Amino acid sequence: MRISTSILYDTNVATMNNQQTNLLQLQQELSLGTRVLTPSDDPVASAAALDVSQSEGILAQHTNNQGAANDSLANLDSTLSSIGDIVSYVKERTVQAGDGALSPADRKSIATDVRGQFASLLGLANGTDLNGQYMFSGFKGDTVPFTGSLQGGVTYQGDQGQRTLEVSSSRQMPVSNNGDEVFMNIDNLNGRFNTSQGSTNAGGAIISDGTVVGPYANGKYGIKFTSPTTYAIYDRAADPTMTGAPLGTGTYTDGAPIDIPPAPATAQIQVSIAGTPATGETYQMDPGGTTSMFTIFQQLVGALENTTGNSYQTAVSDALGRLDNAQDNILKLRAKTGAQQTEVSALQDVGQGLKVQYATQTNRLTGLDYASAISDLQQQQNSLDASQKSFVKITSMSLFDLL
Amino acid sequence: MSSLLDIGLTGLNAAQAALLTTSHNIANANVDGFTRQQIVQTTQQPMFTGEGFFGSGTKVETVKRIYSQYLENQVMSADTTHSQLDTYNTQVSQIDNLLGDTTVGLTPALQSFFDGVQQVAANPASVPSRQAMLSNAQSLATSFQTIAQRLTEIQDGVEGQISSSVTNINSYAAQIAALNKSIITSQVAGPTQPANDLMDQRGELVEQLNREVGVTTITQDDGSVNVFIGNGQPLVVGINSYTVTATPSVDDGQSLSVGLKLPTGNSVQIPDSLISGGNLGGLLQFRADALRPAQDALGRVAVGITETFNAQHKLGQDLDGVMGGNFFTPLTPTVQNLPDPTTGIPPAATLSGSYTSVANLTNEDYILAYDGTNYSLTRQSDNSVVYSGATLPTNVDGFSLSVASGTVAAGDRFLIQPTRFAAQNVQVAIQDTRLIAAGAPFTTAAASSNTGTSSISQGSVVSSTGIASTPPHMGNITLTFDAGTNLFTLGGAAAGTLAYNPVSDSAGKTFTLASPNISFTIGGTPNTGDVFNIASNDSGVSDNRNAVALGGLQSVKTLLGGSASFQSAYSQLVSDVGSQTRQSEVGVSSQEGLLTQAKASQQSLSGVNLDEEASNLLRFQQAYQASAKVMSIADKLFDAVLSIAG
Repeated sequence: MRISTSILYDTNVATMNNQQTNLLQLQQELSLGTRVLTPSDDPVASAAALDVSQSEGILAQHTNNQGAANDSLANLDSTLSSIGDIVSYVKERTVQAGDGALSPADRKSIATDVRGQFASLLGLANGTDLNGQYMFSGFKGDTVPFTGSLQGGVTYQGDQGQRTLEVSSSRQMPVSNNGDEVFMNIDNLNGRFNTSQGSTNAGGAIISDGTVVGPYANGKYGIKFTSPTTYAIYDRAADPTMTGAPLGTGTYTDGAPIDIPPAPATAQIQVSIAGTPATGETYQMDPGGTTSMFTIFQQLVGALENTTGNSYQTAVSDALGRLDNAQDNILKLRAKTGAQQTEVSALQDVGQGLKVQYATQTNRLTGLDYASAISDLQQQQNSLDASQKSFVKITSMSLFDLL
Repeated sequence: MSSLLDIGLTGLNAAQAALLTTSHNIANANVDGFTRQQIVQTTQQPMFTGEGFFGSGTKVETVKRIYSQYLENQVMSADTTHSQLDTYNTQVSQIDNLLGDTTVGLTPALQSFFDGVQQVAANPASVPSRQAMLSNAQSLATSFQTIAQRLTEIQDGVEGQISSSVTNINSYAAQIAALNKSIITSQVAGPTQPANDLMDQRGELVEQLNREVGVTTITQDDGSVNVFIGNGQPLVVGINSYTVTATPSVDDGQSLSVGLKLPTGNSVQIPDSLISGGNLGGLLQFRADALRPAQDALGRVAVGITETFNAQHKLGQDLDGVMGGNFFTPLTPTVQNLPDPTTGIPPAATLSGSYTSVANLTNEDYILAYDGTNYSLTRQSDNSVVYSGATLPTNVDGFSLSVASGTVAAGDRFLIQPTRFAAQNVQVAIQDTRLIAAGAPFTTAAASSNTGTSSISQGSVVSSTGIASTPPHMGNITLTFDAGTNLFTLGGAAAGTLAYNPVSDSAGKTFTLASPNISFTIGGTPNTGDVFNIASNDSGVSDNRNAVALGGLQSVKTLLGGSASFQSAYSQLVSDVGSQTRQSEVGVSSQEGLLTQAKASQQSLSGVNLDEEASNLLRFQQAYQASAKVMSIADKLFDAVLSIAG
């Protein structure tokens, strides 16, 4: 074939340009450690790598959340443990109080101790978490969850909201217990209804846990003392303020069982009141088999300070039974928290594995095979070298040189 | 004797002409577009004598170019495609580099935005977490704006290059017409004596024009060529050239369209799809196939995030218990009033658009036309009518249109670009950390008097129906169970019953109330009289339910007909641009190969080889010397005759 002189030059320049472009690309790949410099180098791999990087980001966020969950759970567990300590200490004191040989002064001193423990319990119940939010108020993190006093009773101001953290893409882990389930949801002894005293009561008398004796139909009842020795029984479902006509009346005997509703109706439940009630004091019976930790303390203090004899012994053994239930509740919650901590650490292990997997995946998609890249670089250098040398040789040959 | 001298002279002249042509070749060896020349030499008319025909020497017929129109056409065809692909590749590489840059790409911004949302989900009441979410949202918005702005710059660059390309085309066309005139004048003797060097010059100009835009040429008998662009629009006819214009398109006032100026002064637009080849073809192809789809796809991700995030954000309550508002400033489809093609007057009415379904949004432009009774919405890419009816389209391809002001008149035309300019307008609507709606507006609770084992879930908001914007968001609702009828009776702010069979539903049954429009799940075995309470979530500052729902949007497949998450829609854009770039790179290099081959064959015929010319020099020098020798011998013969006489 006939070769035109200028195409000889053009072709060589183009070839060397190409080789230099390839060299630059290889050099950049080597210095950045990736074989995909721009998406066009491998569109599929670079899009896949972006998706993997999102997965990696989500994993990192979950790892963070797992750490936060661990902190919250550890904090929760330590608070629950302190609450459990208080309950078991009070239980010990209650066992001591059961000793018939104790003098009224000894009982009073135990009562003082329990009052102190009540204050600590209320302090823990109103404790805050690592972020300054009340730990046991549900969603109402800025609301003091428990207000009230030993005398007037404690009410829960929070809700049943459960704070959660996303610890994996399919798991919202609860990291809080609301105050309701920790303090207000202790099984009482009868399992069907609970008893409480009016918040304005002077505290001279206590009401027992009571028992179910008939077909209890979840009624709400109230006992109001019309004098220190007489009382009236009301149906609070129909008459919440206990101002209308009572279902019946009775004469007060310390520690004697009171049938509710009163005869002639069939008795459904039985409660007893011990101590010295005052005129106008009220006692309520509401459906629901649970009582609150604060009520247990309140009733115990009332029994220690105001009752004697059989009523005292009944009240103390009731209190022991209820404290057992309180302790069980705390243990149950701690077991749940512990299981969650185990779950978090299992998730952390999975996360570590996934992290390695994502890194491997990214490397497979866009990582550089150094050995082959370096060998390519060497090869490219050689061929550029050859082009340059041969070009010089070929262009130095001309017939004109010989004329 | 004299004939001997004459024959020698013709040889001498011919050799001199050959030497002249060879030197011309050597001198022009490096001139672009130069075609090597040769003389065409023939014998002179012989003399007839009784003894037969005696030759009378040689003569030079003409000087010819060693040229093949076929090879030249091959080079032109490869060259114009190469030039188109090269321009396309240069432009699309810019987007490729932009999206490939991990520091300005959308992926890291998107990830840290959702990290911020997760932080709020982890600590809903924490002001620093909320601030982090707002700041990250701000950088997401900036990231969208930056990429969109860069794409706009690329678009501005393309429009500028279209203008300058058109200027170049006009300049080449004028020069070609002028050379046509010179060639017609020079070739008065007819096509047998071609104006070789002028034709080379014109050929080179046509090649350059061809690199600017693909052309077809037809050679006329008088030596001139006619040049056409597009699908036969005349650019040069004989000694006249027409002017190509770049004016705002009738279908989109913001982009330039190429037109041809008629002798009447009006200019007729040539559809972009008809212009192919060359730099201009590459620019138009890039604008239509890569740039606009990239802008649309990016805008679609922006619309997807703002719309779905706002919708979810409005279902939550902020730190003050007020229902959330827009988190991002809502985006709207762009509607452009198109001037009437003949009068140039745009429609008087203003239309406004809104998004109705992000999943159905496409990467398309639409033209809405009104004929006096019916509206028709035409998709520009394939000219298919996607809607026609007496009212403005609602929820067609994910958007709706309505009249904002004025009256739509017959003949009015509007351009609708649903997502083209969305990304550059992404903005965070709230600055106050308290306004982030992390909580849900209601709570559920089991009454403490319950004796059964059933429980109720935290629940979620379905829509804002029946939920007041300020607390209390709703009245208290009670659900009281009756084991006799297996029904929950709604009380308080809602009425009715919900069927619940503890035997079959104890694993959990989900209920949705109409007003307030919320849903929750009840499981377990309730006893008669057991009560669940639903109430407004006042002062629920530690509630993260809506923040969790917002965070969950990251992996929900909301786009492309419900097949892609935000990230995967963006990844698809990156992959599309990457593929286009890759494809054009491969195209450029294969076209380069074709071009090199075509040029090599063309040059192997028409190019100058200096070694060949050197040997020609020797050959013609010897021919010259030989003819001179003939003359010298004739002289000697004459001398011999004279000496006889003397």
